[in-house]
Amino acid sequence: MTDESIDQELSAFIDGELTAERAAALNARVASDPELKARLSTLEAVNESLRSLTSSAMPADLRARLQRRIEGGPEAATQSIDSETSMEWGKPLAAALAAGLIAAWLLFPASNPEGVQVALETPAARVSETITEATTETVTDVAENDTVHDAGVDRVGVNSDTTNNIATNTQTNTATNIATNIDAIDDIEPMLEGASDGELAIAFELEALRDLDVIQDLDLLEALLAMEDAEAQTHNDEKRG
Amino acid sequence: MLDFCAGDGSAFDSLFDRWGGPLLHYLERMVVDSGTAEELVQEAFLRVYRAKDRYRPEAKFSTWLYRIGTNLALNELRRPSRSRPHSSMNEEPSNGRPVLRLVSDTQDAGDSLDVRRRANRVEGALAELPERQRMAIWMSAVEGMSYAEIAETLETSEKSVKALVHRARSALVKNVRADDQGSANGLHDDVEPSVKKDVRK
Repeated sequence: MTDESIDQELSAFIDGELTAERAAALNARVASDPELKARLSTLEAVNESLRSLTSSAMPADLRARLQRRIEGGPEAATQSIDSETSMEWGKPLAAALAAGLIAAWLLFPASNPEGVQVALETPAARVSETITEATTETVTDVAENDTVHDAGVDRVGVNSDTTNNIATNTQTNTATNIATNIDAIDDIEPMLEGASDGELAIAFELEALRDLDVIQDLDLLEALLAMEDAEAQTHNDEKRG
Repeated sequence: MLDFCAGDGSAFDSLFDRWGGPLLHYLERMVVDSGTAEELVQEAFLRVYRAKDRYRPEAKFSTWLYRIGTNLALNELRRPSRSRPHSSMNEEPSNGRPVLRLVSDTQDAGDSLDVRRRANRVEGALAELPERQRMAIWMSAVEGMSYAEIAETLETSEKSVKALVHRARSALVKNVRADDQGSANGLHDDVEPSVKKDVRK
């Protein structure tokens, strides 16, 4: 066992995350190894220090402020944390991304998004630590939801909408609709080169869309958003017409 | 939460009384600004309030609440206009609201100097950790959440949480050891960290 893995084991031990059997084995090692014992003590001391950190007392008026926001209705309630830019666009963005990717897939079935492959091959946690900050923001925004119920479930909801979009785009999409999107998709094409249909199909499943780590290029994001705008415009025009 | 969903308004107060403080504590450490943390606590509970008609008890209430708080904090940390968290907790924030107090300002006088020094170092090092590590170690060490609960909150795997917690703890230990070494070399805790680094060089 390397020092690194022993430390990781000690860390899990402190957190009570080892099985009884592994904990007993580690205990025995610690008892007979002064160096290991010292390392464990240091880790425990750090834990103690963390627990000793104090914070501000709960402001007496915080509950009253919350109540005012509750009574102020949904609009007043979301103003103070820039939700208009950081929270509310998650769902439309997810829908735009989904619609755009699917449209691209339909038009370029033999293409390959590098990001999609990354998403397929790389654990989400690792990807999320390496992607650009701007992209991370997008991931977080989509993770955040108005419907506080459960972020994961909510995103399934978003992806259910996506399924509807798939149906819309695949079954009832008109040539006009695709033509509206074609310019933007041309921009996306280079990023989709080489992916198999299967890879792309999997990427469209919940896991890939879950983290949206597939989108590592802001130009792509903008293109997809532009596509949705164009789609909305077409829809409005059709309504008017 | 189920009582609240069933129409018992006082249950919401109970939830706030029980979890408002710990959530504020957590968010203060994440966004390193008391005023912003208070805003986020309000926002999180506001979302809880609005969700009463849709809530389904698929996770512990606290896990769900921390997930909301975590996502709000991550959004806040990524706002383009936001400055980096203060590495030193006694700096004044831009908005003039008090940041967190130094541990040594609030500990009982009877605490040993070493313990307080260590806590101060850990506090500074915590603020420097990558956010996911900071969140994971806090939820584990302070909130006592299991890796499974943290994984649910951070929307990742237990294995990732184990690694995040370990990396965070290792970084904190390394920082404390480095400072111990600095102290042993004749540097004192009242010396600015940047000065210490320069001297070590």
